[in-house]
Amino acid sequence: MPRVGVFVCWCGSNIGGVLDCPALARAAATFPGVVYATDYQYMCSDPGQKLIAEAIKEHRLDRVVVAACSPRLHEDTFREVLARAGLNPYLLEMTNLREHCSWVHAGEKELAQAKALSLIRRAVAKALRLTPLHPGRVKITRRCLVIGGGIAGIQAALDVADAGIEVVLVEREPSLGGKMVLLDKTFPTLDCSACISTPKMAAVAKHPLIRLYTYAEVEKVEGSLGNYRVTIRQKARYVDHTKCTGCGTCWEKCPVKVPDELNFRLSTRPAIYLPFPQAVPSKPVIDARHCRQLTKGKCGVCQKVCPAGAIDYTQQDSLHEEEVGAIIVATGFDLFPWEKAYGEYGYGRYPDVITGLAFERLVNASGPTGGRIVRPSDGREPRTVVFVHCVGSRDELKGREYCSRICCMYTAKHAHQVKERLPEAKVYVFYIDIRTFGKGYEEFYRRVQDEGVIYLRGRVSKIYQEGDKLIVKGADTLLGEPVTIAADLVVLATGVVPARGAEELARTLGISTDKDGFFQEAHPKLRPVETHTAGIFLAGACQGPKDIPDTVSQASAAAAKAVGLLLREEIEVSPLVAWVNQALCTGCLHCQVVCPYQAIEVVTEGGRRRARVKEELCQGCGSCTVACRPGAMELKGFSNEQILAEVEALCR
Amino acid sequence: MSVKEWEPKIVAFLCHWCSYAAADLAGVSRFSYPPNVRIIRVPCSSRVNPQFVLRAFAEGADGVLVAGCHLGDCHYVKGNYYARRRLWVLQRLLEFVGMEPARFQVHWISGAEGAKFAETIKEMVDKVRILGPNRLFQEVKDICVG
Amino acid sequence: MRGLTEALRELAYRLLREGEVELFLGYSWGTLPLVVRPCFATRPEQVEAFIFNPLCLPNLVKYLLRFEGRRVAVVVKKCELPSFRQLLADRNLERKKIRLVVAPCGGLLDPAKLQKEFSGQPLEFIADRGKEYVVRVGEEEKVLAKQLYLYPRCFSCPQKDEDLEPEDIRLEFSTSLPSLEVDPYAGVSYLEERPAEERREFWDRVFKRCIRCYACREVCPACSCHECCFDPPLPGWQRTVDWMSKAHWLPEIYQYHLTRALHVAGRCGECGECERVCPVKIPLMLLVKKLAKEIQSLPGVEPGILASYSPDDPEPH
Repeated sequence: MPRVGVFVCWCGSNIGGVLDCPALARAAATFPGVVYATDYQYMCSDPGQKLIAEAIKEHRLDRVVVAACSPRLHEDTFREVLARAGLNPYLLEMTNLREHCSWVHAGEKELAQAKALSLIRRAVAKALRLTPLHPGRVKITRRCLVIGGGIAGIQAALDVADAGIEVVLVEREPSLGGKMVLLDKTFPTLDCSACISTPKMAAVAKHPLIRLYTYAEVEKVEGSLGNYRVTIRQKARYVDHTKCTGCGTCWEKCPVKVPDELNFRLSTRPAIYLPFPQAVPSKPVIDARHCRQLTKGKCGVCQKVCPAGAIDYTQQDSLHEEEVGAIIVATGFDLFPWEKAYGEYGYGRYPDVITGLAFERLVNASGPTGGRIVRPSDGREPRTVVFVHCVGSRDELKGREYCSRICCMYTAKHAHQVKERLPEAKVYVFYIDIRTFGKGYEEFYRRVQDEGVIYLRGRVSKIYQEGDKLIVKGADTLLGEPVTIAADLVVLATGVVPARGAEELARTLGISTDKDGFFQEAHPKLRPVETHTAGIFLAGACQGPKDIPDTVSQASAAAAKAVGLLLREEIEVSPLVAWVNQALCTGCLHCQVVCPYQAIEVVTEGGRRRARVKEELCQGCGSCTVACRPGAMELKGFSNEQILAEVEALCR
Repeated sequence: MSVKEWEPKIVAFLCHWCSYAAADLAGVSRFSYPPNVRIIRVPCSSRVNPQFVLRAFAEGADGVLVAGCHLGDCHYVKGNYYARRRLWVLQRLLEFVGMEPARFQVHWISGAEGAKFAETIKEMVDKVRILGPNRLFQEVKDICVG
Repeated sequence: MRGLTEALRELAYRLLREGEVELFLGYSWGTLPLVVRPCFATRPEQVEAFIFNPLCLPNLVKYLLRFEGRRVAVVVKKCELPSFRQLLADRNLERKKIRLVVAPCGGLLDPAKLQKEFSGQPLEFIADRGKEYVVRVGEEEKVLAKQLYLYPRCFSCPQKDEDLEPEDIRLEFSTSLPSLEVDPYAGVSYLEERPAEERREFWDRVFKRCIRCYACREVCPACSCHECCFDPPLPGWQRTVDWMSKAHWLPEIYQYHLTRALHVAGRCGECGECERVCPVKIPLMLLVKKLAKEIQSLPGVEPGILASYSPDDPEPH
């Protein structure tokens, strides 16, 4: 039989003024298992703590009940007292006489006294069934994987590497840079996007602690917090990057011309190509779908002209294994596929109806037109430009319910750029609401309005071609009348959706996605860069639409979280986790279905399937214990036996 | 033997992160409520096994309250969603065997809602007091009625 | 209906002789007239005992647990397939070792009703005419209208045999069960509409009869745990939790039956065995059906009610 000690605290007059603490101690002393009970003015004070420690030794106590204030306040304090007295700290049970009794029942002293005794009886009942618990320890592999080489991934990788931790950065495309490097200028400061992002790309490439995989994808992730084993598929480039010098002869001589997807087919590129001049690494890949040598077996021009002999048509995909302790996911976004949803805007049939990102390429000095704003159809400068907000965003019927957050501002920027380059042009913007929440954003919007851009509040109901004009039919809801504009160029502020393949990656990583397919953060307010899977962090638009400043802040935050984890030799994991009584487990695996943390694995032994808890992943919610019919799944510190004993004690 | 005046006995399962914190806040704010409620702390409302509730009634509780974080605010993300479904089913079952709905209640009370906690307890105690001692699950029907 | 029994015996004979299965689970006459019992054959010469007729009530799928890992053929009716699938999932049974023999069933008959009618004389089933069975009692041929004699669960016959494996066998026999259009939840709805006090009195009355024999649990294919939470704690390390004692008093009887209803909720195949085997005739299917009815109203329900949720679930009060 355990030897329980009960310590009733007066908390000065907070408890002592309402309850008769000595009487409570005297009554508690008669409960089964209680060998010692006393009361004291302030249990949490130094003398109070000493009193407990001495009583533990003197009365050989092995369970301690402190009847005082909320365990949310002082549980840790008293656990330390137990540890100092040589007891396992988890042999403590607190009961809350102050917040739950004396403070709220001061007017009914008699009933309050009875309640207090009942609360102590509960604590004793639970204490009798407490067991010593020991926090688990997990050694940490001090390396970090960053998935995605856009601005979020770049920032996170640099921050982690600058803290002295090795980083493995995996980018799916042939070059780092993501979406940001395609942009012309960034709002609201109008600094050149490439000028601020390409130095960071170069910094990644030459950082001694960053191992870069481009044109590669994460194929498999095994293990858990602190120790992940990642399999990376390096797609065949058909160019040996160890030999290639990036001289450019090959792509100049390549006879193939294919539409350039990065420029939204506004220009062409060869089959062996560098995605853009500042690409990192600045070495080409062969697009196997269009290369004549690889598709038809005859050409071989690039191989013939390469002075370094770097072209290798026989190259295959290769698999690489990396061990890391933490993972930062920064896979970014794609544009909402408006061509499939918006018939009234022509389903992408009209060449002069373009997306905001295509406009970025048009206006970009390194883009297909060298920065001239022209109509893709005939190369003429537009005289009337119409911008349409919320294409795919805030549209439950055709698009997504959420606001994409960046479109109001980039459209304002585009409108400004049209006015700047073509001062004579008329610029109209159709909007639902204007959201300019960032620093300097509202000011920028005002400035664009002052430049003569006309904002019309209303949706566009139809766009159709008439001669060489695009007729835009919409409404001005503020004036309450229909509007028809004959435009030369229409730019759709296309919304943001998770990058293609995000769902598959979520499955590979064992993290969850929200209803829109963005990765789910662990807590919307308090844990915005963590996932439910310990050791996996989120950065940038893969978690939800966001602009560059927010993306970069979140990337640095994710890096800080990862560094905080990786700088430790090993981590202590809470002992208040679930465990499986193997003798009782039937292997129905309902526990696995309800676990939000993928913390339950299956073990098969002698043909019998059973569940097992991965303690380093379990957060101790206990949902699995309820899903378990035979009661094989238990939660340490809140076991079925303990809770049933509490119920019984309270109902007496 | 004198008949002791009957007082409703209510067992409350409160989640550590929200509703237990709300009870603490009610204390700190001195929002008084009837002393008929006895609290059991659990990590999450999803830790509350319907069998605990049945046991409480079998042991003589006159009412059982389960309270957790608001939906979407669960510390363990989905816990209260699981709890909501399980406890909703339990309510349907208890009512089917003849329990008065007020005896078994489920509420979402955040850590900032001390007043709501006190109010919830007040209302529940009032309702259960009107219903009288719980007769369902009880062998002896004529326990001390005040 | 002799043809069906013959076909079954032939099949069992072939499977056992050719060694395709080690064991054949079917039915034979019991010691009392009108009572059918499970029958296991391991050798071809034992198949002569097998029968199949509308009195073959027991659900045999739970016996599969006793022969886990062995090659077994088991006779099932369509209504038992949901319970089979649940058992398969819960216990991770090796499906390829199990061969289902789906017997054509035109509806089972209620032995209690026949007992009254024929006071213990043995019956011989002649034909299934859709709405009625033709039987021979002694020398006499009689016609039994299904509407009058059908076993209660057959009024809501699923009449579906999906998800069979190619190795499974469907016995062919001309039989049919006309659509009877009975509300499967009629009993539940009736009780729901009674006042709470009356409901409590009803359950008090029926639960007071309970002798805690646990036959309902033993027979239930959804109660497939290795160790049941209702069993008393074992000394030592295996089970320390005493969910409830076996005391024969009302609070624990309530606890037992409500817990069991919750444990099988969403997993129950509604084979009705619990109610059939209850020696004191507690209407257990009322509890099960009540939960089935409620669960059907939940958005996006998958099997395993406790193991899922929907953001659109109803709010408890």
